[in-house]
Amino acid sequence: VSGDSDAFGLLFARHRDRLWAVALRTLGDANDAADALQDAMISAFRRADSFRGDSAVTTWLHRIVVNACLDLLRRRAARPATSGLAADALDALAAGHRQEQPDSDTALDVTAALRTLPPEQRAALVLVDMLGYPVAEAAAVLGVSEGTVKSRCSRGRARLLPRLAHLRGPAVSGAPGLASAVSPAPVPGPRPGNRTPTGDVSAVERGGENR
Amino acid sequence: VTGHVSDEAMADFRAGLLPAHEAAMISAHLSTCSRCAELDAQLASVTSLLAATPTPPMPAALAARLDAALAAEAAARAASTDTARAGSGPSVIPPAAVPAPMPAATVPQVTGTGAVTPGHAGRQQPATGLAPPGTTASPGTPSPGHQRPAGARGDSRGPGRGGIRPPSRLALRLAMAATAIVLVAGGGYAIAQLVSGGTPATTAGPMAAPHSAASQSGAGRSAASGLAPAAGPAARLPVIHSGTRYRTGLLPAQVQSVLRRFAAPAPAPSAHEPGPAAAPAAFPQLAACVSRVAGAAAPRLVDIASYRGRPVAVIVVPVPGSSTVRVWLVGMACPARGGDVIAHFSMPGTG
Repeated sequence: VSGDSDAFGLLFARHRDRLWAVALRTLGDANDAADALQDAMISAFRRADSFRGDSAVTTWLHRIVVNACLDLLRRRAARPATSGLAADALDALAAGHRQEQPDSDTALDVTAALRTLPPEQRAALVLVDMLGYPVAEAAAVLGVSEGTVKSRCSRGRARLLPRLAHLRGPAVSGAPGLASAVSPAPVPGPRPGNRTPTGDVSAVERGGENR
Repeated sequence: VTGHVSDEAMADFRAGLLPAHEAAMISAHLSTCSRCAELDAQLASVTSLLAATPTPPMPAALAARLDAALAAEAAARAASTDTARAGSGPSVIPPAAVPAPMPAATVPQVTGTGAVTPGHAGRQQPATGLAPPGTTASPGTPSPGHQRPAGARGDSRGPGRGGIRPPSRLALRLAMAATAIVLVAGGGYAIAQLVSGGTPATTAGPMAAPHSAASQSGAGRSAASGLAPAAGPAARLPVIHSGTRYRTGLLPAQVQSVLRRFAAPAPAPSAHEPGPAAAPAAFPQLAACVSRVAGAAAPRLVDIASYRGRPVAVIVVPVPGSSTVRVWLVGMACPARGGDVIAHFSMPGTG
């Protein structure tokens, strides 16, 4: 037992900013993110032995955090709306009051838009588009195929489009504002030599979790 | 492609998800259709926007909370290991070895551990996708059953793993801190006491419930608040520690329940005994906080509890001439940050 917590603490500390970013952006709420992160950390600590020396420990940690976030979101979604107070209003209040470093307006808008996505799409977009994880790594973290990650990201981007339209700056005719304001990230076009078969995956995604 | 490309198809196209012939059609279409070309650019900007959203580093307070949570977990593990070796023996540290009222400042790890625990309250098992949903304890219920008997966590550890190595010195020290919390916390209830100059009305008994440290990541939660020496102004406040974990949708019901349970919280105001006249550690400026949010009105009850994993003070103020009460849920920054009001609402009081 001795040394376990020290070693694990170091491991966790090394990744904590990334893990925090994942949790914060996936959940869109600092308090929820803190709770999920704590749950994930304790869970990881309890199971750390089985992963000692595993080179994929980073992925493993991320996976536990993402799962904790998704679990929280599902539980939240399953919870019936309660009478009395408007839960959303309270949540917004809590988030507004409690976050130590308030997000910029843009970040808040992006967070709010992300919250409208199904959890799986949100998690994929947070990892890939927001935090820049390679699709392969996001797939490992999420425990799904790369094709599924791409599909979830694609669905998510399409759904975010109208919700983020106002953030693209003053629309000059024909020229999207943001594309010029922020250097566009390299988004690959169609790749003929795509490694993963994607047709069936996207079909599943379309039927399964979209809309 | 007939007409224009849909958002979804364009997104799939950009992600390389379309079959080659569809991709070729869209590719050709894009070169002639400015509307679809703009859609293409807009989708690119979605990714750009997401990428441009900054990701702040973990707040220092959370880092500290997580460190303490880990330490508490390690202590619990070490203690349960120890208990397992000693059969069902007592906890690592004999109760008598722990001084009951401890100035929080001199025992930083205690308050640290205490500060952690609210967020973890009532969760039998962390949410990692492994735990069945709905394992959370019902709100407003103290969790005496939230114990982790030695060996009960065997699911997460290999067989026989626990009893082999002795706990480290660090772990022992942490176990000590955890034990101290447990003893002060008793069964998780610290009952009504005046903020300053008053007496603890009752106490669930520091010694009444000498749980082992291992059993107590739960009950320690509401404990830290009981440890601090009086720091607030000499205002009398009916402070209780109900142990309630307030929840967003249940706030009024939970407040009602607490009001019912602590209907007459005020102990004899004349009593003056030496002893821990405690201002809650989480709310050293509770009196200032109360007057910040409630003005001159005298609160019927102030419950130091938790909401969404953070320590909160729930301030209940009667509305004169009616049965209504006003309720404020404030965070630890109170009275700063505008009182740090998380929620404020009115509801029917209970008589």
